[in-house]
Amino acid sequence: MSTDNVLEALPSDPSQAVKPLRRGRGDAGASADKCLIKAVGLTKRFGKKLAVDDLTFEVHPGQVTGFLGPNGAGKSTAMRLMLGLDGGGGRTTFDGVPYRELRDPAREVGALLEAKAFHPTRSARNHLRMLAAPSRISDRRVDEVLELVGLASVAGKGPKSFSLGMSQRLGLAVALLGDPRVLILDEPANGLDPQGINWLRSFLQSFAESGRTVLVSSHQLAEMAQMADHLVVIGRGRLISDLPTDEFESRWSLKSVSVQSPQSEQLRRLLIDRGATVQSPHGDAFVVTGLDQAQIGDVAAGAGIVLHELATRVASLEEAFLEATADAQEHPIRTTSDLSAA
Amino acid sequence: MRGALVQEWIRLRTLRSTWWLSGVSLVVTTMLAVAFTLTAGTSTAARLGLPRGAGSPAVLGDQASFALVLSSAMQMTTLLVGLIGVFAFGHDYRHGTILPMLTSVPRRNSLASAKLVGVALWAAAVGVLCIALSAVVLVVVGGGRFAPGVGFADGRTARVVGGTVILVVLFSLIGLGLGWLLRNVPAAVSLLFVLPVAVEPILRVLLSVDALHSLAGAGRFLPFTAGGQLVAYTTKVDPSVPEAFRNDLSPLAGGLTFTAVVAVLLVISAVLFRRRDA
Ligand SMILES: Nc1ncnc2c1ncn2[C@@H]1O[C@H](COP(=O)(O)OP(=O)(O)O)[C@@H](O)[C@H]1O
Ligand SMILES: [Mg+2]
Repeated sequence: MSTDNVLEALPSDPSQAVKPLRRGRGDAGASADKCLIKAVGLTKRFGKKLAVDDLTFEVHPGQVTGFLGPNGAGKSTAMRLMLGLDGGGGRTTFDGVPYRELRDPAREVGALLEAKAFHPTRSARNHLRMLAAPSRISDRRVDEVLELVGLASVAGKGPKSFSLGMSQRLGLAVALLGDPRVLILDEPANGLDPQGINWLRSFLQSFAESGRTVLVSSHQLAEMAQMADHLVVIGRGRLISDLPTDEFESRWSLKSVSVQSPQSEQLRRLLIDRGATVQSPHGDAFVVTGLDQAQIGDVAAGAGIVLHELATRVASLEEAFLEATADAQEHPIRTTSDLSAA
Repeated sequence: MRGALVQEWIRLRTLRSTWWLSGVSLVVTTMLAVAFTLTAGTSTAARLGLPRGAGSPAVLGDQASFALVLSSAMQMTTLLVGLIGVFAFGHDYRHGTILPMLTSVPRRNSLASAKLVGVALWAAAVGVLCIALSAVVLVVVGGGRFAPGVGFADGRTARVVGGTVILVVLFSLIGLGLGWLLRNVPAAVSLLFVLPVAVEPILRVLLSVDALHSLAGAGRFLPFTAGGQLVAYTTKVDPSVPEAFRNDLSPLAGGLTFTAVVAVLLVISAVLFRRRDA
């Protein structure tokens, strides 16, 4: 099947695809179209297992918020709670209104929860028309979103033969149908190739820049770090961190210095005396945390110790992420307000 | 609610199975109508206990055998339309489309009502078309096969026709209820077929044994058995029917019994639908 050449149909500049926010909805002036999401005390239990545990966070307009956590952390469950699909504790409001009470949900909030949520033989176009009907979204808009996600050439086909990436894009098309001011996307990058991920990133960024609200989940930190301005990180159903992406990175990227010296024993003792932590000694080499490269160099020079290697290593974001989510229960919750209080 | 109805209309129309099942219903019903028309005389003779075969006078079909042709849809269309009902929720749970449907129509009562109305109307349309085709068969093939005076202008025949449409609609709703409750297409399809075709007949035979004599009448109230009375031309017991399968329930009583069972199934499903996770 000609599923591969479909990628070429992705519009080259996704920012062109984002319409400016509608104005003059009536009431509150310039901010009328911006939507703040507040999730308070989200809780979901499956039998004995607490899948989402008293989760509270906000998603602000004008930026991409990443919803990050390892597989099984409770991201999908939390999103389903937010949309009133699952019964559970807590409350989520979109500008003060719970999802179920939105007057025209598709025009307010676009959601992608599962990539392959379609009937295999109902054509992509009919699938969209069906889901567009309750909000009286025109057939023209259906063709527009098909074009936008690069599926126009297969619009008449049943999605049975769609790759995971194409399925994700059909799901994204559903979310975009009502030209909503909020997007909630569950792992939309799964199955996309690097080109598709790039496209998604710039699309979401221009979507957010137009003043709209985006919550996008992933279990891959590297992917999220590039896509999101803000990260809500959860592990085992609980909030671990709620920080701007760069603050999350600097907070969690642990620096260490790898050192190699023929007089390694002597140097290690000196460094430990200075309060450093020495890890993984191996022959002449060892790793130091707690002192930076220059301080270690000074110590060595002061004692006349020869250095064969002195190099700073920054733990990868993935390591930081693992560290951050490793033992969710044992780490205190860190939020922006904690930081500014410190 | 209007939007949800439009959505349901698109959902039904854009499923191949809807068209297949409806098309097969029409074809099979027409074939059955032809068969019932050609054998109208024989079945009338059997029912009335008249002599048949070589030498005996030819028997013409009576009004009951005429009505039987018009109710041909009760044979297969009921089950096929029941499948359309099963798929109403069954497909959405099987393929995960229940999620985008509930995000586009977050009020569960609206979504469910739309499906109910959509499936019931579709089933009614299929039922009416089946009857129309049966009528065409009577006009085209029936000439000279029925006794004088037998025809469409008959009160009880009109009731059988109405009962046929109601029965077809109730079957579509029982299918819908099974798919909704079980959220599992194979399980719902199995029940839809096994209950009327195997379970109830077996129960009726069991209930008719002497040891259960005092319960013998209870078999009449088994839901599908009772529902079948909707298309009964007469409640007079037919001597050609084995004792275990005779039924003297009036069409109204039978129809209400079946309707009550369907209603209970739908209410339980609706309550669970509001409570369960999507
Ligand atoms: N329907 C369900 N029944 C039972 N357990 C579930 C169900 N859905 C999710 N879970 C469990 O809840 C936890 C969170 O799952 P999920 O929200 O899918 O995590 P994530 O999306 O972050 O990978 C997991 O341990 C998962 O096994
Ligand atoms: Mg998930």
